[in-house]
Amino acid sequence: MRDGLVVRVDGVEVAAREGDTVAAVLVRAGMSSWRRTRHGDGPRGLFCGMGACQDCLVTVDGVPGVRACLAPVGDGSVIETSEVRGG
Amino acid sequence: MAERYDVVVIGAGPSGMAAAAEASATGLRVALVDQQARVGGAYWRHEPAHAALDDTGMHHDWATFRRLLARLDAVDQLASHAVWSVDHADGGFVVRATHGEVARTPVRLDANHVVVATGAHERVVPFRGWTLPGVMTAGGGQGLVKGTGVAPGRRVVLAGTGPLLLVVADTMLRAGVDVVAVTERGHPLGYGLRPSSWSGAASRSREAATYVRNLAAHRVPFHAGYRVMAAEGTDHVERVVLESRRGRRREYDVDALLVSDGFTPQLELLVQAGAGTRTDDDGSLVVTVDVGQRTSVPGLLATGEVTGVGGASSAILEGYVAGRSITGRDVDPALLDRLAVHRRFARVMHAVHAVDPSTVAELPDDEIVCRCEEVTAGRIRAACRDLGADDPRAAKLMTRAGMGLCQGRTCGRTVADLVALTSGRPVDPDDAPRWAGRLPATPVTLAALAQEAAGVDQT
Repeated sequence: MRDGLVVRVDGVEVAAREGDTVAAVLVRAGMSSWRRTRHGDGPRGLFCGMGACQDCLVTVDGVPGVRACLAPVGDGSVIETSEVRGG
Repeated sequence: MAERYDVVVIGAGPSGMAAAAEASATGLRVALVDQQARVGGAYWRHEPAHAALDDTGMHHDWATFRRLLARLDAVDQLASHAVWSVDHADGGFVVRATHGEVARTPVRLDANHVVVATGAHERVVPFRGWTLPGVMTAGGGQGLVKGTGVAPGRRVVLAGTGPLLLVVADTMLRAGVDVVAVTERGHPLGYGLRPSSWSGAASRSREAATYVRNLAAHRVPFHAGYRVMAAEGTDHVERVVLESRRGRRREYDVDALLVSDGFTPQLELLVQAGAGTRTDDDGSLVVTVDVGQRTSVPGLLATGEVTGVGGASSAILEGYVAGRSITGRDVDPALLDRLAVHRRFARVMHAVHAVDPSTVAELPDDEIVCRCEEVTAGRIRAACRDLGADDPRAAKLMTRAGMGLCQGRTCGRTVADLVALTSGRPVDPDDAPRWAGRLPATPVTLAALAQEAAGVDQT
């Protein structure tokens, strides 16, 4: 990739570009959902894409509840989805 | 110590940029605050490299963006700052924000004047399958492309109502996405039937004609009078079912569905600060402003979509007006005339693209209305029928609809319509401000609140 950032998504190295949001990295990697709902266990990813709906929450550098559509990635960002549910 | 500004502008979209540029032109100390990483708002969402380019082939009215950007040199641009409260203090205001979506450092700004230009988020009237991944707002899908170069899908359908659908279709085509159909609930011929829109329509109809030509060149079908009945798929949208008013169905295989049913102005900060509101002719709760964009609260101004959904052109003009009225400068009457033309056009746009509230009656009982708390239409109907709920607040307390992380932003209008339809009690104009006046305006961590309360130095 042209700007050479590398981030980790669920332990796997993924290339990213300067200016990418977490959502951009995940969608480019072919993911459309990265969270499961509490009650119905439904898959969720991007919906409003502008920070209003809170659907696209993800864990970044150990901080949970980060809006993937807003958070920029940096080189070495560690992104954890909860698509594979641990409990 | 907190920074003190003459003016804090919240929202760095077209309107906020114009307000900040105009206010700083007289030497006032101005901050321009936005939760996004770059200025421009949703309208001018862009990749970092775009800002240096004359034309990116992607953005609308890019020359205006570059002109406004060049006027922000003396403005403190506070990007990645999410404002969660605007409060009164010491004859002025205190604006509280967190910096960084991950770091969430508390920030406090003191201001003599505050301009709220927080814009609007898109409205989507729920349909079966609307929570499936791959279903997203049209503007959200467009922002992903414009801001990062990533397309939301390879085969997309655009649905809902409003001029934005054509704009987003155009963006998708430019990004190489296969747009398999564009569908519109209303009928665009409605513009021609309302002559009051004609004077303001010249540039807009030229723009629309460009989009329509591009759709035709790509052989994209445009269906007027159709709405989405269902998005189908298991863990991702795979098929879209559309239906016309006469019951005619169309189905498309897709990997993304982009929907927009108009906009919901983001009024939280204004309602918090006590500004007076009204219901606009599209049913949106908007803030009341005078000819100088001043709200009912002295020192608090509002511009752009929060004063009525009208698009970027009028939002920019309102920003100029606010920037001038803060310093008591006269506003050019020609500018106010242009604004009046835009507002007439907006009224026609609202009428042509009105969404009949009774369409929520079609929602199946088991479909989710509140995405955060996963509250179904059936549970809200039961709260009305069995428990006597006849206003959105009662329904919220009984079902948790609107009580989740987004605080009812996404479902608020739908819950109000559903409750009115089921209980028979019409929507009360006072319900919406009660629903919108929540604190914080955006989620804030307890750690940030504790640091703020302890007066931790934030600079």
